[in-house]
Parts: sequence; C-alpha cells; structure tokens
Amino acid sequence: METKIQFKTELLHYILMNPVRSEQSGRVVFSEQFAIILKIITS
Amino acid sequence: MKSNNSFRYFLIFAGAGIYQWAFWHETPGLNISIFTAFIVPTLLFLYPESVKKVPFWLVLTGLLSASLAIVVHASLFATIMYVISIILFVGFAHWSQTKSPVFAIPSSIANLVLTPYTFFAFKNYVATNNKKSSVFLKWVKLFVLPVVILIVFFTIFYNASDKFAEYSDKVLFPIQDFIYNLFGNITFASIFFFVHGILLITWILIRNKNTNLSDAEKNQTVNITRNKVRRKRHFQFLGLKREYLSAFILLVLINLLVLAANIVDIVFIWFGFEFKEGMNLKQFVHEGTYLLILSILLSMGILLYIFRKNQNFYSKGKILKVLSFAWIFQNLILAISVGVRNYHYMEYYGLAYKRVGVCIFLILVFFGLITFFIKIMQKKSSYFLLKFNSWAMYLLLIISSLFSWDTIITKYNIKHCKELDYEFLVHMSTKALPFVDINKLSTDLSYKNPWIINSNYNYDYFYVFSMRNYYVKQVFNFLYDWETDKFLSWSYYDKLAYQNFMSNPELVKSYKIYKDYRIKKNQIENGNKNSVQNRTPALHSDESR
Repeated sequence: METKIQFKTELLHYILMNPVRSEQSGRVVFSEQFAIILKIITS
Repeated sequence: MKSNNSFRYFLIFAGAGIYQWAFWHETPGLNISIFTAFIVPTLLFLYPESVKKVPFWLVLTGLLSASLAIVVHASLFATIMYVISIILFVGFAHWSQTKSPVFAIPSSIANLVLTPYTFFAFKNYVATNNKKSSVFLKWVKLFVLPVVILIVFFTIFYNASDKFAEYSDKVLFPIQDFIYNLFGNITFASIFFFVHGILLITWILIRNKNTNLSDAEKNQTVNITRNKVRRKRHFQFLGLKREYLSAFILLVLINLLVLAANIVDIVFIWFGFEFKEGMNLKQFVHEGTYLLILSILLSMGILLYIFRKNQNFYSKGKILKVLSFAWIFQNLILAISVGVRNYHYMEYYGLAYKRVGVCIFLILVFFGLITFFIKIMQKKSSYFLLKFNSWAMYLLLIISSLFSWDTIITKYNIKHCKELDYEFLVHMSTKALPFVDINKLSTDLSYKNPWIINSNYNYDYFYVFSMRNYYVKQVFNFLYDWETDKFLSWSYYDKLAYQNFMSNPELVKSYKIYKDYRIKKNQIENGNKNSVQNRTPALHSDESR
C-alpha cells in the first residue's frame, strides 16, 4: 500500500475539488482551471 | 473604587478596541497575551483590595500559565482553561472576600448575565465620585465648537488653493489609509463583534453589587459544629440510632461486594491480564471505566449523606467510621484498577485524549478520596470538600493544559504502537502533523471525514478524498494561513511546524502553485476584498476523541 507521495497529484486533486467559481453566476471558470492544471503539469 | 464613571467608560471602550483588534478574524495565539496584559493591570488598579488575597494570586498564576501555554502551542484545551481562568479571575478580583472557586464561578457568571444592565446603569450600582464625572464632558464641549469651525475653514482653503490641497493631501492620505484600514471592512458581523467586546470588557472590569456571594460564603465553615437544638417536626425522621443501624448494614454489605469485585480485578487485571485475539478491549476499558467511575462517585455521595451534621458526633459511631474508611480504601483500589485497565489499553492501542483524560480524572479521584478521609476523620463540612477539591481540580487542569497533548500523543503512538490508527492521527492539529509519515497514509478514495461532510465547506457533499488528500489539504491550508495571518495568531509550535514543512522542497514547489491559486480564486470569487477576510475556515482537529 505504501506509495511515494506526489504533491503534484494531491494539488491537482485539491484544485479539481475546489474550482474557481465566477462571482456573479457561481459557475466554474474553466479558463482558470485549465491554466492552473497546465501550470502544475509543466512545473 | 478609585475612578469615576467617564474613566470607567474610557477603559471599557479602550478594552473593546483592543479586543476587536486582537481577536477579529484571528485564532488564539499571541493576542491572548496582549489581552491579558490589558486586563490584569486594569483589574489590579480598579480593585486594589483583592491584591492581598491568596486565591486571587493562585488564579492569576493560572491565567498567566494558560496564556503562556497558548503562545507556546495554542491548543484548544489551553484556550478552554484560559476562559475558565478568566471567569474565576473576575469572581476573585471583584469580591476579595471570596475564597473558593465554588463561589467565585456563580458570582462571576451572575455578573456576566447582568452585564447589559451594568453597562447602562453602573452609576447606580457602583460607588462613584460624582463630582469628577462631568470634567471629561466639560472638556469635550469646550473642543466641539472650535473643531467644527476649523473644518469649515479648512474645506474653503482646500478648494481655493491647489498648492494647499497638495500639501494637505500628503498629510491627510496616510491618516485616511489608517482609518480605512481600521474601519474599511465594517460589516454587520464586525459591529456585532465590537458590541460583544464592549459587553465582555464590561463584565470583566465592572462589578455589579448584586452579585456579591461572599456573605453567603462567610456562613460556610470548614468544621462542623454539633446542632443541639431540638426542633418540632410534623413527620417522623429516623432517629440517629436507627439511621446508624441502617448505615451499618449498608456499609457492611457494600464493603463485602466491593471486596469481591476488587479481588476479581486484582487477580485477573492487575496480575493475570492476557490479551486474546477477538477480545473487545474497547468495551473492556470504556464501559468498565465508566461504571467504576460511577461507583466511586456514588459511594462518595452515600458517605456524604451518612456523615451529615450530627451523625459525625454520635458516640457509638466509631464502627461506622471504620467501615467508611474501609470503603474509601477499597475505592482507592478500584481507582487503581481503572488505571491498570487504562494502562493495558494504552499498551495495545496507544495514547488518545480520553485515555489522558482518565489519568487526570484518576489523580483527582485520589485527591477526592483523601479529602473524604480527612472530612470523616476530623469532622469537616461538605464546604471543606468542595473548596479543596475545586482548587485541586482547577490547578491540576491548568498544569495539564501546559502540555501540547497533540504532539505528545502523536509522538508516543508513532514510537510505541505496532498498528497505527492513521485516521486518528490525521485529525490532529497541524502542529502534530509534521510527525506523521505522509507516505504511509492511505490513498483509498472512500475515506469520509464526518466533520467535513457535515459542514458547508466548499461543496463537500460530493467531495471525494483519501486520507492523504485530507492531510495535504490541511498542510496547504495551514501554510497559507500562517503566511496571511497577522502576528496576533502566532504560536511557537505553529512556527516550528511551518519551518518543518517548508524544509521539504517538493512540498514548497507545490505549495507555491497552491498559494497563487488561492489568491486568484479569492480575487475572482470575492472581487478585490481583503484576502484575510475571505479565508476559508481553518479545519481544527477533533479533540473530542
């Protein structure tokens, strides 16, 4: 069961579960989500 | 009381200001010490007569110890003990004749309930020097007119000359910024918090003369005196002799029963304990402990009933006393049995809050039984029991709040337990999390944390996560809070935990992305409001276990 921790995976999990939502509509802002996911993958 | 009413109002508003600044959107830490540094000298100044009393100094030591414990490890337990110390401190400072916590707490709580009344009417409730009270108002009236005229002329010049406006701006903008920083974030909640602060400070500083219980305490004596007055009764009470006989039978039977229970415990638990597979140790300790505690408390109640008033002076009552001592001694053995059960449980499952609680409770039971022995032996009153045991309880709890149990429990369990309960460990406060090996946490997504599922935190009703996800989220949240919090929430163990986490380069790399994300998320979701105000609530550890 013991696996080496990948903080990137944990971060991705957090970001997917806590998406940025627009102030007015409350909908997920996909452009921000994609930008951050790209940032995590390329870092 | 030395001061006049205006001065008292000034102290209340100053205190409420300090309270607002120190605690609004802050967690307990350094702010507690700042608050204590205001309260203690002010109370000493307002009620100098309390300074000569020993109970006042005992509680002051407790209060300072609790605030020191909060600066060091900021645990929930230390915070609760700080609140209890404040309640006691108010009681002892306001009424210098109070001697025991049993009377200080009701008097302090009565003062708390009457606070709104006290605030508006303390002129009528405290002795004041009315001649001086109008001096402050006189000065205010003297200044109002000149200041209004000055503002009118300033506005004229400001609009008339550009150069004057430019220089005035240089002076006024920093002041405006300062005022904006102070009051810019006024919300209904912050006004409510300020009013709450005013009431709290009024409670602490101003005493209401209706809450004096020291006269009631004066009537209580430590020693019992024999009551020889014969009163005419409308119905028949058991006479001393018949009561003695009934108590005698009860004590003999109960002593035999407890002796049998003690022999079983000594043979099977003290010396012959073996852990067998499939044995429900939880039931064995939890239920066993609760029942034993109940039995000890019940026996104290019965003894208190038997040895009330004149039974203490009954000439043939010596056998009764011997039987009672035997029962107290047997209760001590019962308490040791509880301790041994607790020890076995700790050996197999490690430390937990309740197990530490049982240890503290047992020390108190020991103290209680010894004072009971003295009560019967030297014919002391129930007030004697209440006074000494309440002090023992307070002081022992203060001493135990000095330790950071989260870190002690985590370190002990990691060192001594063969099978670690990781679900319990990830629930610890963040100061204990650096000791938990993150690689050993389960990645099973079915992990559900009831604390989070029940809250409205970030759409959690469909929040699926593993224990490891939860741990990392806690750590990121802690690091972010530590960096955005003011120095007011500072605590030494949090600082150590922060340094510990930041020494891991992999974690730091991911945390930086997390931090940028949180700031951007705040900006998009809440506009450009103060980021501190929009922080998600910190998830505290579940210390009820």
